[in-house]
Amino acid sequence: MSAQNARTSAQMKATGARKTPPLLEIRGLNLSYPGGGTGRSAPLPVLRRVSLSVAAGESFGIVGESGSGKSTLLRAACGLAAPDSGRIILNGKLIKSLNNKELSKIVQMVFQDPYGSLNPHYTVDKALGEPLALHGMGKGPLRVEKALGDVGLGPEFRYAYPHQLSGGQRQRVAIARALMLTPRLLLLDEPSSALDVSVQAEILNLLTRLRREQGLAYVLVSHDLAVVAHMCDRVAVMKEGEVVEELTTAALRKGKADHVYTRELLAAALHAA
Amino acid sequence: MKKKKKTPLLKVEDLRVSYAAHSRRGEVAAVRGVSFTVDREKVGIVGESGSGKSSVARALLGLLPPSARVEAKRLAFDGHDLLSGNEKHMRALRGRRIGFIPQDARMALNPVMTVGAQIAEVCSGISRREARARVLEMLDAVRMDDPERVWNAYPHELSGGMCQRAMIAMMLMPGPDLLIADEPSSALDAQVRGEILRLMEAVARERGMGLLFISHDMNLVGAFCDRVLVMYGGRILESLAARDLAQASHPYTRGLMACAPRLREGRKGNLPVLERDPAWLDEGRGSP
Repeated sequence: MSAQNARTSAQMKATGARKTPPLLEIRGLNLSYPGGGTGRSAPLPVLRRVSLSVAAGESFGIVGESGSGKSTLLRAACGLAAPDSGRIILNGKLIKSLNNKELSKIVQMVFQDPYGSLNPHYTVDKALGEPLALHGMGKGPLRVEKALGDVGLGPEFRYAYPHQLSGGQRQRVAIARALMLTPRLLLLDEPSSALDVSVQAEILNLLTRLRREQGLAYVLVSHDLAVVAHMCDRVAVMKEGEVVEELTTAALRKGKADHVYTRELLAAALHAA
Repeated sequence: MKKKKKTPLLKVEDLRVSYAAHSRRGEVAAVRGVSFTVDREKVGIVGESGSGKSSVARALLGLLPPSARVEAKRLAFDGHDLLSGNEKHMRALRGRRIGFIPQDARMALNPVMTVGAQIAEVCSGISRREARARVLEMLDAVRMDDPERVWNAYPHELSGGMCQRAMIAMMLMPGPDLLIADEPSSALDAQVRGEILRLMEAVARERGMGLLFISHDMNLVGAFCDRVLVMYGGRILESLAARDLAQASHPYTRGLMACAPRLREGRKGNLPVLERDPAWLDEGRGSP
């Protein structure tokens, strides 16, 4: 952990002359969805001039209201959505130059609803073994059991189907699956919003431990400012497809926000608490 | 609080709901003896998934599927027995005197009908022109900026928050005495959530309605309701005034409140995790 942190903080200090490139770098990203439906033919801009960078081992948060482009940004960062212009650089390489296999060893995604993201016909064993098989890494039962152990599930869960698991257990399986190929970056799209607070606490604790143990970097999208403040070092605030402000979570907690929209979000979050 | 001699608007005594299970296990008890009353006040039921809170709400409205078995010593709304099983009788109450606001209004609204037309369906026995005027008035009352646009819009053309406002408008049309809201704001953004809750609070107060608010969010319920019932395993573990929530005595209530991360507090290592005591399942039999 300490080596990882030392590298991260050194990297953050050396803003001018970067020696190690950031793990994820996004520059001037524009992305639009084709217009359609009732007479709307112009493309609908979803991301506008988005730039951010995430260092290895860092935990980066993205907040904003629904429709602000948070999820689309994550999808673009793992190659699921193609931008109109701008650059996405993963581990020093342009995302376009990476094939699916290379990409999936660097970055993996965990979705909000594990019930929707796990194949209902697959046992846990098959869901976890598939990435290994696809990458010709040998589907050792030991690897599957170790992956389950890493997320706090016993070997008895190997032959369970998703519908036999609770929401928290399913999210643990989804996290285990994302970690099978030992990626360096996890994209977490509202990973705990579908869960009860008590289960959310368990999942957030699990994510904190895994990041420490495996030196992972996170990009965490959440509508819950408290979750982001708890989990992340820095946070980007998105509104209508733009990053309107980037700040440290320490500043966020102190309410030191410059942008009026960030202050609105803070006020809403504090009011609800 | 002054004791009223009048019977409360809603009286629930020893409510039990069980569902037929597919396997040999027979039945699954979702609600195991719950008693409470609701008057013209805001009462919150909090609990985690599986605690039985939504089954309570649906049992009151007679909206549970046929596989559910509902029993109670008493289930009365303003002198009407909600257990009679008389569907005609229930239909006269449901919507007219007891409104129901679901979690996701967009899913509950008819997608192939304009919002105006479906709210106007609630009005009967008045001219179309009069119905339109009343709907527009109600859309204005739920703080819609442009009631005319909403009247003509289909649900997919409105945001989630606007759909929820339209739903509230529809439920308020017949002037109900009790509103039951099942997680009415959990599908919405924090800002919109605040607006919807303030709106519900205001209309309930202005119209002197009772409000039964079902939620998994302890902080929200504490900030918004007068009284809070904490459900666990199909029973009420604790019942207290919302302002006393911070001094809740039950370890479950305390644990639930502690395990949510808080914005104002500094970042700590791990969040506290709720340790469930199996004995909790046997508590709450003699709830008030």
